[in-house]
Amino acid sequence: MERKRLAALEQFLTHAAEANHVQVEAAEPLRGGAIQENYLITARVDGGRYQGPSRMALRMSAPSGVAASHSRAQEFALLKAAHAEGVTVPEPLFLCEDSTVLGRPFFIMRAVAGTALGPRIVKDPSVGGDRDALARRLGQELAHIHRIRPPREDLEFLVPLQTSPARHLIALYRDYLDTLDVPRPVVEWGVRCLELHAYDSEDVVLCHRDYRTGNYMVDEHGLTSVLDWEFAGWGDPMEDVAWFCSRSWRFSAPHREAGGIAERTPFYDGYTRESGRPIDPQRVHYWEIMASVRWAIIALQQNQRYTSGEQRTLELALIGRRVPEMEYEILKLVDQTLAGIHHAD
Amino acid sequence: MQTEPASLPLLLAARTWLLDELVPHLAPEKRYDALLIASAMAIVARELEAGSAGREQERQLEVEFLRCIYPDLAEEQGRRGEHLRVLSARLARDIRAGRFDHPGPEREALRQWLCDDTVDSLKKCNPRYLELEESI
Repeated sequence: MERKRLAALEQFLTHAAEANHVQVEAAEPLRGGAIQENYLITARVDGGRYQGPSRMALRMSAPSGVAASHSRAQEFALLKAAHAEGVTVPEPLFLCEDSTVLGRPFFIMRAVAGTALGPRIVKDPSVGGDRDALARRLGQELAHIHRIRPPREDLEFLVPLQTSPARHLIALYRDYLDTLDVPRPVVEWGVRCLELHAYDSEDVVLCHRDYRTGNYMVDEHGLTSVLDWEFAGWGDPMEDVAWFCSRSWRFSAPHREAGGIAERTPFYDGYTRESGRPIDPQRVHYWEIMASVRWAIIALQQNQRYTSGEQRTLELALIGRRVPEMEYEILKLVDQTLAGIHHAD
Repeated sequence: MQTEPASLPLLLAARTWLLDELVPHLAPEKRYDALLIASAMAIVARELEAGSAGREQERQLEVEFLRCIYPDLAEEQGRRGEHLRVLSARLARDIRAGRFDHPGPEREALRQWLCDDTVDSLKKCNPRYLELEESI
């Protein structure tokens, strides 16, 4: 971060923390998140209730976002709601909506130790602690998130559903598919199957909508925080369960169906014990088709940011080449639906 | 006149050089970018390798499929890119309208075509994915 920005950040923090002075000693960019920019801030706070050395994470909007993602103010409100509900999240500290400070809005949370790198968590047994315990804990955390229900004044920016969560998403994804230059018949095939098997959810809750390996942090003992709330919204609780288990987020361990870290059983078990809500494998299967459709659409959207010239990064150029992975999943899961086969456990 | 090495071996030599000679000297935060470059080169190499023989085979499969579903398109001779776009648009529309909702030879032909096409793309984009998967 340039000197001028650092000075502006120090001034903002001094005011927000009600301190005499905040000195920022380092602001290092953190990798991860194709959409937002994150920094680790090391600071020294003089005076006020945050007195002393402090490690904070700064999350700032990238120059261009995807349509579905929330603003930083909204993400901050979600983080506060989750923190209040007892979900293990980084403590939200300060929000800055004034773009003159750093050029774009941002918020500050307490920094949390650990790694969030999905491929590493899946491969390296030295992080995350006992895997079954981690899966169970992640099931419990998800149940905590799902205790947040509409209506909520603090979350009024979340789009209220006019129809069932499934039908709402089907309409949304079709609208998007209609904007593509090259149609994707496999994705349409998945969406049609979802339409034919759509159901009315009895239960509408706050869904994280990106709850997966790669979006939580672990240290050597276990979970330290649930991250990335920018896609959260009202939905069917099984959407999050299925997203967590979907093939794309198992990385190099497709046989460990709960996020590449464990079997489904401990994850389901932690969830059900905490929420009292049983898990219907047929519904999870349904939402796994939705997960692959959604991920294909996000990838196509990000790829379009490259091809339109909006943001020319190699990562975005390559992401379109990942769509066949999701399409393969769609075909496999739709076949199973047509044959009446669902996950056994 | 073709200068040696030809396109594909030249690309692969550049990729090997990047991975063996440059990546070990890069700062950790730059390695990820270098690996993305290597990955892009590998995809292009596989696409080059599939080349015209692969395209001819794809064309045959497409004609067979079209004879079954869209006889009028099977007769058409157009630019291949444009042709595929028309086909995809029509398939997308008909799938959405429910033409393939019921079991039968049309649905089976569609399913087979979608599977073949997807597996073919995966072989170029990410062949390791297929190694880890059961076949469809």
